[in-house]
Amino acid sequence: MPRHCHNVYVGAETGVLKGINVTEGEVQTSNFHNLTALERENEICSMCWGDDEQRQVLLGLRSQQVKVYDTVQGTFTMSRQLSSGSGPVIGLAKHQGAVITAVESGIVTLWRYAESERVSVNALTTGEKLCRMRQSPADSAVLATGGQENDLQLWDLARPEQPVFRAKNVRPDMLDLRVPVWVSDITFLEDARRVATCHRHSVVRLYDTASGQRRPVMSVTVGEDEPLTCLSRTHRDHQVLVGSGRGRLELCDIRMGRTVLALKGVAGGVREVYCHPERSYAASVSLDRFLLLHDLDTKKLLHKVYLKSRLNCVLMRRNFSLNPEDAEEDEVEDAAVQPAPASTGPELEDEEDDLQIVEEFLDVPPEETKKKKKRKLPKLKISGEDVADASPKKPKLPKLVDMSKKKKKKKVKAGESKG
Amino acid sequence: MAPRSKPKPGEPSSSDAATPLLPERCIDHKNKNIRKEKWRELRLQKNKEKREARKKRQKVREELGKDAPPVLQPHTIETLRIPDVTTVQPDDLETQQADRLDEFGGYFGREAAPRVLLTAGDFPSPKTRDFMKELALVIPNTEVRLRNFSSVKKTARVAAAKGYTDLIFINEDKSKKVMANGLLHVHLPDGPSALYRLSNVKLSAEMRRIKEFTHHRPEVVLNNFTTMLGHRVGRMLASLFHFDPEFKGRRVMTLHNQRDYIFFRHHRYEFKNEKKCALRELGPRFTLKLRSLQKGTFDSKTGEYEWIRKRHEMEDSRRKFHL
Repeated sequence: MPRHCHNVYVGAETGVLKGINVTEGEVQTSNFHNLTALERENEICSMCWGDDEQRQVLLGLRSQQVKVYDTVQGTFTMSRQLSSGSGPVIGLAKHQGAVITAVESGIVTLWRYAESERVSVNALTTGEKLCRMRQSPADSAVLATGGQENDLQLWDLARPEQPVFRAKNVRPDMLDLRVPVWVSDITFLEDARRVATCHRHSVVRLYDTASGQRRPVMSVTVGEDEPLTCLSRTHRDHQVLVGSGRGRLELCDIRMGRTVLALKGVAGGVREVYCHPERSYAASVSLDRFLLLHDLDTKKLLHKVYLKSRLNCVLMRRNFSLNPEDAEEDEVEDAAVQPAPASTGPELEDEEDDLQIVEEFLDVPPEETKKKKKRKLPKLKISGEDVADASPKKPKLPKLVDMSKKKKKKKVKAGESKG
Repeated sequence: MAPRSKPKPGEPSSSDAATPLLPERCIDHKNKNIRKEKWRELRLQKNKEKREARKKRQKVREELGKDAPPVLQPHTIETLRIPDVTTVQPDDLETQQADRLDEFGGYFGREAAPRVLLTAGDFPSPKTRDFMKELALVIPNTEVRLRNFSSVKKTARVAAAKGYTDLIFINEDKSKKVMANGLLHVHLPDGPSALYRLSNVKLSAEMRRIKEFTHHRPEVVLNNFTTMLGHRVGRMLASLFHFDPEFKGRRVMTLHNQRDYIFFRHHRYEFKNEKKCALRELGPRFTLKLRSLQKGTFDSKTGEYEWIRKRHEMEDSRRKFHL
């Protein structure tokens, strides 16, 4: 089975990266590690896609190593030991070809080749430890961080001294006590100005960063004493999927301010949740060593995969689908977009991809980066023409414009296949 | 007795020739007396068939002797148990590696000898105090302390700093006048915390014969911990006892898992000859049922759980077990 067939990647506590090929009928798992050489220090603490085509997976380890796994070649192409602050790497992202890492002690660093160009941000001015760092889908230089007793902060790498947005805690409760804060996960909603956070004290909070209000716009209590550990935005803008340390997966409606749906099947604490941005799939990974795949529309558990080690992180491909017709559509669209980067010369292109993490070996010519920037999401424009020309990889634009043929087709097919 | 699925208006009823009817279906009759009679006849017929089949099998066994097919085993809940995906295979490399890197890797690598601290609630009742004293004799290298109004988290922190490897809390519900009904086992310094329901506690004084405890380190027998969760719980319980048993003392602790209940027994054994072994039960006996296994030390509000018992979701089948 070719390596790039895997559509879900999972990182385990023992340090094993697993690739899973999920199809409608069956599930195939493979390990990408030498199982005799595992160390506790190599626990995979965070994962993210290394590039837009989702060919590379970046892994952040407990020992502050960053590894790159190439899905097409099927090997680990790069491994780099970093030293900034202390603690495991709890957040990873890429900005203009360079890697951004966030460690538990609060230091967020943009690792450019030249030391003078490296940007370092201390996100932990208050609080005990940093728990999450996420990148804004609109602007790759904007990062959100949060941790234990460290509320949400938005940073711009161009201005690393002060956060762009610093959240304020809610008012004291009815006993006039300060409400404790433990941000365990952050997600940017589609318009990238609204940010949702979930707390270990069983609340989900929504912030509007452009409105000037620092207090949360909405605060939803999920269950009683449910330590919420992870959060993901779903294909619907007003809903987020939350996982708790007690094994509850709940779909929370931010507009209504309450939980809409609780998904079943988890026995242990949920470690990470990843929802597909356009389709209704949700992958969740938990301490009871299972990977669960749910469908948020039909509320069903599609697949439950036992993966032997305690699991920490999960990633799903953009072209993930259990519907073969969707997969065909994606292939056609992928083929249509591919000729653009290949025009610059295929071999050089591959090299660039492989060595983009640390630009020690090749100077990235400015043209390349410009082209890559073009393919990223432009600022919001509400106009029909933009949608027509947009590649499918850009996230959804506001609903008004999005009633395209593609979506209608999918709905009909969903009705047929599940009816 | 109504049929299980009523035929829908458009669809053919179950009495059509498409599917053959089960014999029970012929018995459905609205009149209870007639129904009763029909069931009785059916039952008599079935028992007769069973007897004849058994006679046949016995005959065949006598005729063939050694070549006869094996005796049919009766169905029990254990034999009908729903197979669990997470059952640990003995040659599984990943599980072996995970065990090595586990919280108990130090114990099983013979590096850290266990040192247990045993305590109860704030004002333990006399029976609980007796139980704790017995447990202290049964588990080697155990200290019994009074709680002194400190919290579980604080106790765990202080005990870890002082070098203890395990912490056991006996919980009792005084309103129910039952002696002790909960056991919280926290493995230190950052190990998992297991919460059990404790039941059926019998102290050695209540057992019929006179007992003599020695202080030899016992052997530990773990039975039937098949799934991944069971494997972890078994290792956790085993890490309470010293890894080097003194076989001279002939003392054995058995932790037997059956249908998710863990039975603790303490015996002294003596081999009479190669085949026969005499057992004398000493010490307390009690039953544990796992309620939750938490990753990290006890933190019920903000901690993460590896496994939590969710009765309605998990125990929907009588043939499904988790340990």
